[in-house]
Amino acid sequence: MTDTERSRLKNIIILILALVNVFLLVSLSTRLLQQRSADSRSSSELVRLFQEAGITLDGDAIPTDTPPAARTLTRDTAADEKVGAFFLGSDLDTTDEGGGIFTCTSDRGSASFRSGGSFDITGRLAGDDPLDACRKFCKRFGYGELTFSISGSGGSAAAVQYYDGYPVVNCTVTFQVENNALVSVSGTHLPDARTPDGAAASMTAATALTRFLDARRESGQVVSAVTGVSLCYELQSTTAAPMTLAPAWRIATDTGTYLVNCASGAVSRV
Amino acid sequence: MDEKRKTRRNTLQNFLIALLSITAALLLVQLLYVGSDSQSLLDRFLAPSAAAQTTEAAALTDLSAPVRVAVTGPYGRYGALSLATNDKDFSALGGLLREALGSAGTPESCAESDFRAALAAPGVCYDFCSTLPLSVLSGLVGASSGLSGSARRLVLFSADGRVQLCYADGSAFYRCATAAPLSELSDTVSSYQLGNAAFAFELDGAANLNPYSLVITGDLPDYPVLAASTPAADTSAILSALGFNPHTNSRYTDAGTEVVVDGGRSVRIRADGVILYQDGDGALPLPGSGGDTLSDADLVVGCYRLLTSVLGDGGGSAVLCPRSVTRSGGSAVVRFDYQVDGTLVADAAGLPAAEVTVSGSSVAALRLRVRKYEPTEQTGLLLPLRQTLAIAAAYSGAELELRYTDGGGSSLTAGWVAG
Repeated sequence: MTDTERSRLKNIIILILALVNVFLLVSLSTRLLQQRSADSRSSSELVRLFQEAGITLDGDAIPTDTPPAARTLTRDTAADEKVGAFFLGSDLDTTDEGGGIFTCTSDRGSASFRSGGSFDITGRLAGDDPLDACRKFCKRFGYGELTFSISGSGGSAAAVQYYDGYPVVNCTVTFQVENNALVSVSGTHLPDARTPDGAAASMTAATALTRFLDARRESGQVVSAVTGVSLCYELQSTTAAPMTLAPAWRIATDTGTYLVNCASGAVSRV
Repeated sequence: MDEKRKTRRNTLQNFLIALLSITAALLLVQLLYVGSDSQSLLDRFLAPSAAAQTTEAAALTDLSAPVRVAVTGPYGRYGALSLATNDKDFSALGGLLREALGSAGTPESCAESDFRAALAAPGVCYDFCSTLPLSVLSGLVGASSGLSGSARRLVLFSADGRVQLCYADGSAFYRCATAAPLSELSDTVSSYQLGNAAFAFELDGAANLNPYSLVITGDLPDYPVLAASTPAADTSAILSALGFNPHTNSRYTDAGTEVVVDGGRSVRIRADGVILYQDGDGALPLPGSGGDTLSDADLVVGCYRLLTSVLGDGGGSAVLCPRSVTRSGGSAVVRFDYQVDGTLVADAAGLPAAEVTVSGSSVAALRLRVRKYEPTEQTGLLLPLRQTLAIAAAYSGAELELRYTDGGGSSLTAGWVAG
């Protein structure tokens, strides 16, 4: 084959590839437009359904996010020790009591961690600036939505654990402050260690809202407006898997917050 | 000059071909992704297949054993007769038992009166429906326990400012301290609505019964009627599970029983759903058996894996649950029953649903009765407690239990059994 023939052949290949690209681009654009149009129709339909049920729903507030995969977490006592060391100092005596109970003690106090991720730490944990200690703990160990309820020299604070950027609704931490000192911290801390991820759940926000509407009809609960829809995790526990994070849609309403499990579709009130 | 231009053109053409090929591939992937649901193609590719997800049991926690629970508070008792160890409703109770068994200290013998006092104290009593080695019971709730012996009923109760464990091993009673948090036990007890259950020794008119029979004095939940059937045997799957060549010609039919022979081994598949396996060669190793010394937990998990591979989906909604582990010399016999949603399905003749004899680390014999059970929309009526106690009083020392009894019919109703 001469150079000229080779060059012509390449030009033909380029032309064919260019045409294939144009075809695929047009197909993709058409599908995206169709999908957007279907989403829009679905949102409008959903808003109408909610209106008929006497509930206000903002169609623009329905997210198009994809739920994350469920996570099965594995116990990590090293992570527990880090939490204990944050409040009790690094000079810790650690004991594995068996049954998943792991304890740490120091001259500042003691901590007890359990297989499901729950923990209790008591003692004189931070005397200088307890509120700052709460903030630092939350920042370091992945907690968000920190709220304080302090009056005078005492009170409490609470925060929610985040995992992979999603809040874990039933996984919180509570701080108790007495006489300007942090005296106890209790809640649940999730380890980073986990088994390989399973398949992602595919429930859309629109499906979750439909499930919620059906559940509300059956239960007869009074709701007049949906104020927010977002993805979150729900910590679940079974004998085989003490710590499993199940993806869920969190539907905030004017009378309460509901969860729709992305895998089972079960609706529960938080 | 021409040569340079040719080279440049050639390079440009190659570059364009590569670029257009890559963009075409990316567009194609994107097109498929947009056309599908929101789960990415990569996720689908990497996700385990449905077949892989109907997995073999790797540990005792993967088994589902029936458990009856009595939660005792200061003002009464709550009873649940149909829980299973892998139920969500059991997760909190199971977690408490896991911590208690895993952290149990050295047991000391105690009197039966101490056991009764433990039942009366605020706490939780777990009845696993049959006596099993403590290592197996621990494994069922995810604990690793150093306790030896066997038990059927375990009681966690509050005493001396700690959570204590009390259990009966045959006619002997034991008690030990645990590191389970007392606050957790108190929280668990207070989370139940008390006052719907009692033990037989607390009831008038039940003096003749086994004193630890747990009965519901309040309203009983509805139990569905089960549709029972004997599914047609999948001979190839059964032979493969037992290590036979499924295409073997060494087979014949004897009075409705299909018999397959391979050297010193044989399988008999009877028309009534019973599968009998005999092995004189020690050719079928117990699944998961790494060495010659098998613990009770290894035996139960290994036998369960073998039986579920033979059973396939033949059991319907029923699952096999361990009934007993008996050792004699170098061999062991592991028996299983069926359970549906935490309620035992017992054979009317008292035979176990499955029995596996293990010699060393090989399966010497196996007997499995394949029966399929599916809950129906119908619910069965249970005899009221007063009448039940009056009838059961005739059976001295009998235990009163709620279960399904399979006499070979096509429909099973739950009922009280004094056995």
